[in-house]
Amino acid sequence: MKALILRIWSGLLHDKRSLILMLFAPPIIMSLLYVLLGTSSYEPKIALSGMPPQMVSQLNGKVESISVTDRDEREQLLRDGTYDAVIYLDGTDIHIAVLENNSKTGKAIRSVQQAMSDAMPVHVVTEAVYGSADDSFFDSMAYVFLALIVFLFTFVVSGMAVVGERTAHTFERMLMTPVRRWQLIGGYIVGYGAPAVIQSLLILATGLWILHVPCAGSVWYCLLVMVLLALCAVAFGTLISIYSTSEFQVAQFIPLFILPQVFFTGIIPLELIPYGLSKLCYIMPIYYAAMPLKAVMVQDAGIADIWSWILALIAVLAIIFTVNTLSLRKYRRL
Amino acid sequence: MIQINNIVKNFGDVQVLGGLTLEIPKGEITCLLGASGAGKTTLIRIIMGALQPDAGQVTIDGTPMPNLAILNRIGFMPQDDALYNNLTAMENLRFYAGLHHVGKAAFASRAEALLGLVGLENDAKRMVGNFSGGMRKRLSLAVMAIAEPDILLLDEPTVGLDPVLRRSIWDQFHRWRDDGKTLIVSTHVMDEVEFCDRAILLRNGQVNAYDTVENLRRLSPDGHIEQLFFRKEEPK
Repeated sequence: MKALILRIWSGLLHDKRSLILMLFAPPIIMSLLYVLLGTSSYEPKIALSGMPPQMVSQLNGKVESISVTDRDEREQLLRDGTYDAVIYLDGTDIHIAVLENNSKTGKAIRSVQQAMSDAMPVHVVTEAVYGSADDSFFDSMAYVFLALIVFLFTFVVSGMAVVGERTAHTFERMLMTPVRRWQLIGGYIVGYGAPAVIQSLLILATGLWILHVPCAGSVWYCLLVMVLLALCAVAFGTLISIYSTSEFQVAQFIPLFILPQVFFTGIIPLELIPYGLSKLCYIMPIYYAAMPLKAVMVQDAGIADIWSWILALIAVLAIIFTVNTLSLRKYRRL
Repeated sequence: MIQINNIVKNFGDVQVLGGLTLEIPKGEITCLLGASGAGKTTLIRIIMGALQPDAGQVTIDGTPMPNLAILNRIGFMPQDDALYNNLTAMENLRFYAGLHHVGKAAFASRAEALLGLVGLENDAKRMVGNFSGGMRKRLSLAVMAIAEPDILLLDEPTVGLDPVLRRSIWDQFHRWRDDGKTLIVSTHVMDEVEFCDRAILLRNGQVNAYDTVENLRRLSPDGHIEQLFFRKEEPK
């Protein structure tokens, strides 16, 4: 097992480009997401047609008064992008016309609704137990991205590595030595797990100290969860590799196994998933990491709250390890 | 002694080995002779347990294969070099030595001796990815021998080597044989049979002939063993 671990490490150290990619790609992706999903300064362009003047003054942003009664003309203004929303009166109803549903028109609708609520004598105030109102989408979903990036990057490395050994026939040669199957899997998990731990550290450090993602609880609990998730991902990648006959197949397994995981990280609340499919979360390794990460980062959970999740992650790791060891029987009976 | 009992192996609907029964004695070089596709590699892989036969059993010194203790005594040189391109020659050797639990001191002296033997003493620290085909073959041979195995399974070890190197490798095989090691060498080059003690002639998954090289030469009409491949049936 020691020989295998040392071999993996020397191989990685010789391959400078892969090493640099492994270390820098995850923080770069994390930062990119931060910029893409962070607070944007875009102000929606809103047109008011035939609205009372106090309404006009309530709306902030680029608001213009226009006078358009014709439906076709209104739609043309939206279509050519002059306005993101056109507000008009139809009898006693206020209509907000937008081109299509997207986050830009959503922003326009929200600013109109905000203005109207401000105009009312009674105000609507939203309160959240956790987090603050000025958290961007990225801030409130940071735990999702931490889990996803760690999982994806470590999964790919181990998944490709093992199948690469098979195509180079070194896998069979290795099995024709007195190495035990569990030692081999253990060697892979520790060998590729160590860089995965460094990756987790870097991603977490980027998130907390460069991007200033709010973390209510202990950083150490976050790290513990991410390291366990990284090891699960390595083991999972190895498993996929054992059942793939080429790198091409591994590449196809990546969307098959990673994309569904995305939806069980909390990016969509599980209650909103239809047809009882939310139960699938129990077979998604990432679920067992995203939940405690959320608990720690958003709700300031301590070890008393997350120990069951930690145990679950260790159990997932143990299960994949065992399945791996048994799957190797495919190549050597003992 | 390696006993091969009624081994059958199919890949899909193709029968690669059709009920082979052979006894390979210790301390000799046995040559596996046959065209490509005759089942040489399959037989070698079944002997060490990399492949599970559909029927039959292989025992080495009475122990059914695969067996970890026996695997530690086997040196295997696959047809493809099976080396790590992203490691140096020395790191490749160290890895396989580690899997065989070779101690540090023993490794240092053996690695030096073996690299000298295969003429790579000046390339120990070079990356294998930059090696030529011949260099890879020679390193693969050194890897095979690093744990000082007493059963050597060599799948086409001399293919693609120049005649001088090929000769020096066969000389080494003879030295190992004289030390009491058992060698099974597959080849499709007919003249290499001259370097062996025994030969198994494989054709379409059947044993065409199996005897000492001397006897085989006597059996063939003109003294050329390859003539035996053209015989209609095997004399009992």
